[in-house]
Amino acid sequence: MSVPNAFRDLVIAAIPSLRAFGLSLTARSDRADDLVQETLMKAWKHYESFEPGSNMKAWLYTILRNEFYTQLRKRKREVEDGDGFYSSKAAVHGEQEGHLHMADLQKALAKLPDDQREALILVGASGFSYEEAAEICKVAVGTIKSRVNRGRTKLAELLGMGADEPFGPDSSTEAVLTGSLRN
Amino acid sequence: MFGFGWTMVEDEKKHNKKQFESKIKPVKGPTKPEVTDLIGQRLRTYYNEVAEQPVPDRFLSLLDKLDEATSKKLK
Repeated sequence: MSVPNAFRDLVIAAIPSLRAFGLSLTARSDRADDLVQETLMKAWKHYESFEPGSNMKAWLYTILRNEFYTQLRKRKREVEDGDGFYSSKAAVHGEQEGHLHMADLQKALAKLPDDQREALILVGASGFSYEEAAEICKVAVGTIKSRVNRGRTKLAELLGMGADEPFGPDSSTEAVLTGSLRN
Repeated sequence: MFGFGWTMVEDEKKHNKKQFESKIKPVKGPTKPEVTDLIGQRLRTYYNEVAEQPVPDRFLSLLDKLDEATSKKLK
């Protein structure tokens, strides 16, 4: 029996968000795509362990996340700076503000502890529930909640939007811009 | 539930250690709701920039190769 088409279709549908998850974790588009490739190979190899009807996206995220930590241990933490997917893009295309914001966010994300970053991305960007994120990271739901909160607070500080800094609807753009110019 | 638990033990250890460390640090005030909203918005924009791109061809051809390999093995 070969890999069923239904399985293949579900995997293909998940590839775009897998790439986004990979980029969020590594801050490098080349490594993100390497992670996705490894994930696809593992998914094919182990497709029989996927329970039909269960959450394919969560299953694939779990594989990608495991692969990320395996590679991280091998590489001994040289990921922090990254190639800056957004900063290089902004430099080449001169797409200013939007990409500057994103480059800034990516830098700030890279400074978060791994566990806070992944929790924040899973819940805050990938659309997983706290329960699903807890399942993916193999920790308690309360742990995910506190990681999300701590990650968000840290990110706010890094982006110049911390609790001690003036912040209003009008100063938001300014705060964001100042943050990006400061670096 | 999702399988693939083979690298979990070390991750768990690391996370437990981090959790313990973070308990010692003083807790800062809560993030303002408007900041929470803005951060959420920016995270989603960042994520969706990639998540909304079409599937690159390299992955589709990889899947073709994987399918080929699987069916050969089974013959």
